[in-house]
Amino acid sequence: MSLRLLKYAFIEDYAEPCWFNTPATLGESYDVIIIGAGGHGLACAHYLAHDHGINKVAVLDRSYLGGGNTGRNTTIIRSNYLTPEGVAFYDASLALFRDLSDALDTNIFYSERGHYTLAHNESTLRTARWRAEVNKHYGIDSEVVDAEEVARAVPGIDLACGGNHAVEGALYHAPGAVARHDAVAWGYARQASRAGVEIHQHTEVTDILVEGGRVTGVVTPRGTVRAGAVLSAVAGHTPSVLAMVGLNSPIEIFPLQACVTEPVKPWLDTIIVSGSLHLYVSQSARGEMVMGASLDPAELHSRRSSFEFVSGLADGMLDLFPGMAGLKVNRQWAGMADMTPDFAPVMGTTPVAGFYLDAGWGTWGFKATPISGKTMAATIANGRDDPLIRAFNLSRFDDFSLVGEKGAASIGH
Amino acid sequence: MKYADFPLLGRRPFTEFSISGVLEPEPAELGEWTAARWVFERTSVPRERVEWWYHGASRLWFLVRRDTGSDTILAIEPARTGSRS
Amino acid sequence: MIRRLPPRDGEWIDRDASFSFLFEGEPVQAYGGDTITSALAASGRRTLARSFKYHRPRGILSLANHDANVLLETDTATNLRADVTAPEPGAHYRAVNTFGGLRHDAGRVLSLFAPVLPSGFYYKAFYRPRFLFPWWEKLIRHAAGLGRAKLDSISPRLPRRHVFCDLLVVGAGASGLAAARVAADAGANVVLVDEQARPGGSLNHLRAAEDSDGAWRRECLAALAEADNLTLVSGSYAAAFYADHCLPLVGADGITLVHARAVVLACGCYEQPAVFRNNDLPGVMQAGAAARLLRLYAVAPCTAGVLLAGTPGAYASALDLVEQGLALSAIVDIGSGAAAADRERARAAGVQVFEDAVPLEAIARGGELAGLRISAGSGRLHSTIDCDGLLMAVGQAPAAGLLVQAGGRLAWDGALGQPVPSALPPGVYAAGSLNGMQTFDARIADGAAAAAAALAACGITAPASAAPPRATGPLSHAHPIFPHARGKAFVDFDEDLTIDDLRTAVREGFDSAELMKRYSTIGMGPSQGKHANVNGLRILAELTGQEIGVVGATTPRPFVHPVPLAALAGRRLRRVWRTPLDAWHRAHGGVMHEAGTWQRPRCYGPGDHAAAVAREHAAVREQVALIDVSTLGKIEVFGADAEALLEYAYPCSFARLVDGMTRYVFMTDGGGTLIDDGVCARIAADHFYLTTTSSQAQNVLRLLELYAAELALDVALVERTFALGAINLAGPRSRAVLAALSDIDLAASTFPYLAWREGQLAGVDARVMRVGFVGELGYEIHVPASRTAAVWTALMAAGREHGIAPFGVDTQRLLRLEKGHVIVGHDTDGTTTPFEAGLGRAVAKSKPRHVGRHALAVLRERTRRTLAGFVTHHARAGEIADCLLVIEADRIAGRVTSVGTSPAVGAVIGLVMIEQELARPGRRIDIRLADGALVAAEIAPTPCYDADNARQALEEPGSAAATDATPGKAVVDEAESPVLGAYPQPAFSHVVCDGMRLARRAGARPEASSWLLDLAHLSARVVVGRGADAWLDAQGVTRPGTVQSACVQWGDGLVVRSHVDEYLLVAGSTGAPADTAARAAPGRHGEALVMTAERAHFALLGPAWEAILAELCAAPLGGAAPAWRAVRLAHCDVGLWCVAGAVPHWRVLASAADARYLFDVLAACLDEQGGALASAEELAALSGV
Repeated sequence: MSLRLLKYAFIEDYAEPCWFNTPATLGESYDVIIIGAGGHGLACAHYLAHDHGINKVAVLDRSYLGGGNTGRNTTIIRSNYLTPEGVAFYDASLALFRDLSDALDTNIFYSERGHYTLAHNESTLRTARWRAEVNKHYGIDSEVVDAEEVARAVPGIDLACGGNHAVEGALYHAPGAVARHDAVAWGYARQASRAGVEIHQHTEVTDILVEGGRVTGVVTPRGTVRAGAVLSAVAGHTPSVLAMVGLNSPIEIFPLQACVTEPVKPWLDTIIVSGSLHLYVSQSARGEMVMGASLDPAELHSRRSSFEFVSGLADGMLDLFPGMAGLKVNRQWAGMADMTPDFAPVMGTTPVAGFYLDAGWGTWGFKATPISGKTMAATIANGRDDPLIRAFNLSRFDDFSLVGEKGAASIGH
Repeated sequence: MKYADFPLLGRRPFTEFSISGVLEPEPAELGEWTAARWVFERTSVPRERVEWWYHGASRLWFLVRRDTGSDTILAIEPARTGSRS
Repeated sequence: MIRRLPPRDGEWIDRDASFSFLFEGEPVQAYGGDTITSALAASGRRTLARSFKYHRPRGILSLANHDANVLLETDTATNLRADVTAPEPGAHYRAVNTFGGLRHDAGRVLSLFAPVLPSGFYYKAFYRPRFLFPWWEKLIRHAAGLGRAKLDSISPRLPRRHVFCDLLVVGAGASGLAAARVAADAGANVVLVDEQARPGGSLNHLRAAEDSDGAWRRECLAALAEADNLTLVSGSYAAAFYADHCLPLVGADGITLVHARAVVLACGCYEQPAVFRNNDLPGVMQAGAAARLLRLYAVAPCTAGVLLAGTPGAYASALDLVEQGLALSAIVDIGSGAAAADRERARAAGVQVFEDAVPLEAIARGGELAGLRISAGSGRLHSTIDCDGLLMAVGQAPAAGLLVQAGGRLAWDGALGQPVPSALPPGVYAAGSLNGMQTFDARIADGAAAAAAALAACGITAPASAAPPRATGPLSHAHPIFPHARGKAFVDFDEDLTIDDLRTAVREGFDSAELMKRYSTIGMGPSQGKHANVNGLRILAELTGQEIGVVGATTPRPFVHPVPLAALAGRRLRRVWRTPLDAWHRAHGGVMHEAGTWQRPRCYGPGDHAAAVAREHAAVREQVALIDVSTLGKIEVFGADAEALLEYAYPCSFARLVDGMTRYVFMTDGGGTLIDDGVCARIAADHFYLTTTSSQAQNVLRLLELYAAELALDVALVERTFALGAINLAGPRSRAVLAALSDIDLAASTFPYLAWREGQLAGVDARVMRVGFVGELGYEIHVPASRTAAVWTALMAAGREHGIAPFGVDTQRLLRLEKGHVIVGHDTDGTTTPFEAGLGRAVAKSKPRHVGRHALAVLRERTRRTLAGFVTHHARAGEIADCLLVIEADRIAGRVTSVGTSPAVGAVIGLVMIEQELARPGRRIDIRLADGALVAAEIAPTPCYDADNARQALEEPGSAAATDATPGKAVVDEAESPVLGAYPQPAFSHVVCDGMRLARRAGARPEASSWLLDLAHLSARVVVGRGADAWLDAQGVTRPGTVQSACVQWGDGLVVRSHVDEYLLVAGSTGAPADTAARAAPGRHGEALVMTAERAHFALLGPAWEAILAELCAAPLGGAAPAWRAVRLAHCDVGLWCVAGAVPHWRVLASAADARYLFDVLAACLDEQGGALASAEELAALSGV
């Protein structure tokens, strides 16, 4: 038992010091204001302080800390992407994730499980081979395995899928992992707080002040605050924040839903994604089956749940795992996915000096939390795009130089 | 499951439609727009907008005014009326 | 059954139906109507399970599914909620999550570690050193989870029905029954649902003073039973409130998805526990649970009971329970606010009353409740009361999950001591105890008022009634929370959370409702906080010094109770399209595979795949062969603006396309990405015939309809993908075979390459195109779907002397690769532009306006990669596969998109998408195999076979003479049903009855009252174009006015105006003379085109179909049924209409490709409902004909 837990037993009425630095009053000015106290915003605050010594930083959120997509995703972490830029970026994130519990002094339950992207027809199997070959080229542990290998590794799976679209093989990515998403946000928040960063919840940024093409501060119901730099890390609310600085983007917001079953004894150790059935499942540390599917069909700025999602998911899931028919869905929720035309993020500098963007995270945001924080911190500290994210700049759309993730034409999870 | 009263079709679930966003026919000239802005730019903020919805079973398009914040339908009209243009 | 009490009126058990089951290996007696928990309680057992984290003994808390204490599993099912689940005779139940059984659960040791397992302990330990974590994680995962998933016992999927009503009332308690009664009397279409086995809600077990003998409830239920406009759904719970008043009612037989115009939420309240040390001991339960045991199951909750009174009503309910047989020795009043008279009445009944008391701790003996230590009175005297039952009557919280999901909001009512609805969305009304009503009269009046308001919103007149005022006095104790220095005061029984855990969370910074929940996991267990959330908020308010009204609450999400995946999934429906040649392929060794929704042969046996492909390859190259390409998209484009539409939709130009000729076409999206390709034939200046790839057929039609609407063009688009079969006849001898069957002049001069001609083929109207996809002399033959199999068979017969053979998709792919043809979607991906796919030259620069023009203008200048052919003789070339990478100086320079061993070249050839600089013919490239080895290859110009199209110009000896051959000898006469034709004969016998050709399944139940008929023999036509109106008038056909309107004509025939300039005519079954239009000869009539419709046509007779259609179709079909509806039925786009007359019934028109799948689904549903496929005798008897 670690020392931290023993204190609870032997020190009377013991509690650890408050994790978050949430001062009652909002300061006059800060070097950097980060809009959005989700995983990305808090990670950036952490790395600004720890990598660049910048701690006159305030992280503002319209609601509670970690209440956005950080608290609503299904916690899958992988780097078997299709494009060289994507592979390099997500693999750097994986490396940070492996040591994150230690770095944040918080056990984020980073658990390497192995990740299967199932192919139910020839075209998705070809795409799997394409991704495997690109991954191997960049030293990512990723390979195409046949259906029998899937059956050996995944208990309860029905390769015939009930008689239609049988599993023909899969892209297997051994480093694929899951982690406790809340712990990542809280860990970053605590380390940033320890370094002096301020976190202000229930403080909505209603406008951003721009003078002479440069950002000078933000307006909130608790007063106006001056800032040397402003970072927007608000995922599903990005278009509204961009409007405050007169910028446009290709981002479109779609609800992305997920659900969990009642907890059962662990039986599924790996992460299963089906490209053709557009659904995925893994089992959490608490024993719940965490399941999701593709985006909702129409743009909507809301986190409402729908019957079509959960019944469509069940319809496909029971083809993959007939034995799950008796498990009961206990809860369903939704996040707001900020989608981009090439399924790659929109990061870094923008035409407005001092205004930085960390957005376009669609269905692939949680796995990028550490590296997006680190690269955004470096970008803000140096005032220019970190090399790892240069390909993701908003300006790429101006000359059609898209990142080719959509080449695989199927949204990965 | 959401429903609406559609002209020509009556009360139908949204699931019978494939919903596209705001669509404009490609203009002959772009004016001050760049090709990139024309192809990629979106205004994805909660607002009332007119969308194009396609009903596969009847092969009819509809213009639907919808609030993308509350998902409420405000008006629906067939994209092509029977009248000879 | 030592705790069973004598019979009482209103008990739910059936004492004549006794049986036994096993619990933890020991037999337990039960009656019919018992739940597992009530039977266990009757047997005197109190410890029924172990808690999730500390494995503390647990028993009954709510007995109403408001907690998840008693979760059991059997060999086949897990996480069973024993409180509300009936036991099965002989079943063996075990408590979940125990190690070594309930009594000796080794997990008990965990409670010793409680001091070092505070809230969020797992965030604070075992991550240093990193290598230790996997061991610790394995330990946590082993301890996690409740029951075991039973992966090998597969519970069946349950069908789901759509129900449309005016008013849905959730909860059949006092207010719900009153609301339903008002609505039913007003003639509204009402659904009343209650999760308990019987309606009545709390009236069943908590006798409200005014309805002590249940007279009002019985009278009300009798009236509702009489009302045929009310549906009572018992034993089902409204699991969620989705947009547009959509609520899934989940029962044992599946989900009823209700779509209501208005909803009255009369869901009642969840009784709340008090929080004090050891309040989780078996024997401590809510007063409501004791009332259910006593009144519903005739079980004594205890032998010596104490009641914790925290509300004014506690005394009345206590005495009521005593009257029911409760052995109550004392009442501990923790500030109930009850009147002195109540106390006196209790004392008069021999019950000791401790006033102004505080529960200090419950005392355990053998892990179960043995006594309660309290401090009472002004002197704070401590005393211990021996008891084996402690009933908590300290308050309630509204069951408001549905209300908040609906968009309603709650506000804390200090006077009542609980939240009450403060804002309701349109069409949603709250009633009863959920709405802060306490007395029976108030709940009845509130229900009636809510119903009246709801009906008014639906425009249904009902007697107005005023909503009564809410209760004034407290309904809940303000703060039933009594911390103890040594802890173990439980707030959330699911998650084993104590007051100390919440205090730790708040002090460590998780000081809002949402953060406290996520960190401590309060409310995240199986019962989702029903018994914990309100107490949690009281503790949070106290710890943060805020008013409880300000603290806010967490968001209740679906589901109110967990819903099995088997119910959510519904019936398994997998749409499958079959070509008209499907049966032939299967009968002749076709190796079928799924190509999207279609089924297609890859090649034909016997022998292994490579041998079959080689054999078929040779047949095409040297003799003649044919392939089924019916899956291609096929669209007629007809009207004055037909060419204008195509010029806008496609980047290639149609200016030089003349009548009688075809051209290759490709389509891009607005961003310049290739999405489809095909062939376009110009039939006339105002009439074009398009083909598309199989996978994009529906998408291209959708886009063309969009562009026609956007530009308001005068054009009609007719989908013929499923109406026409298509056969590609290819090979040097193809002309000779065709000449033997067709009157078309096939001479190369009059029928050149890329031309199309129409004419008779084996007596069938055919449109034939000379296309060279596989690089040989070839003809693509398009004929009506119902004639395709016969034409194919005629071609096979005529070609036998020429060595004809069928070939499949895999062979076609190799042949087209040798000819260098790109496959969109295979060689191209989600980002490929025409310039990268060798189609740049065909992008018309001069066209002023077309989709993608602006993007293509940019992309033309920045093309950096291209598709190129390659050839390799390397030893390991056979291992090259699609998507392997091209490596240049250790950098990815491209990838293989297609590869194959070419008999024509005698080497491995293929296509690569590669950087442009490397695409020079002769350039060496390295392809990396899966194991990393590099295989050298050489860029080669494409095509590597028949580069000069010489194969198209083959003048077969004597072929010119074919023109004088007698026109088509073998003639196809009889249309073949797309359904029955494909059915193996023994399953069906054909009977013809007054024009209706009936299908009768062998062995169907004779007494069936519902039937399914196949009416494919009834001819149907599509009439399209500006001239359609005039043509119909000339035929004497009455034309429906607006689009998608229809009129029944010629007996049971039909005329539908299906699109702007398109009509669908279906012949009547009585063969009325006037329905000649529905049998008119296809062809052009001035400004109108008449075409065969080729639809599958079913008749659905009998009462069973209403429920079946309510399952398979989400569109409302009741009410004033319009004559015609184009709807989605079992995933298929169909036409549905009603035929009146002697036997009113439904008709379905589906595509020929969907026919077999849809017929199977309808037949399966019919079997379940006891229906049958119709027979002549039954129909004759039925229609009195």
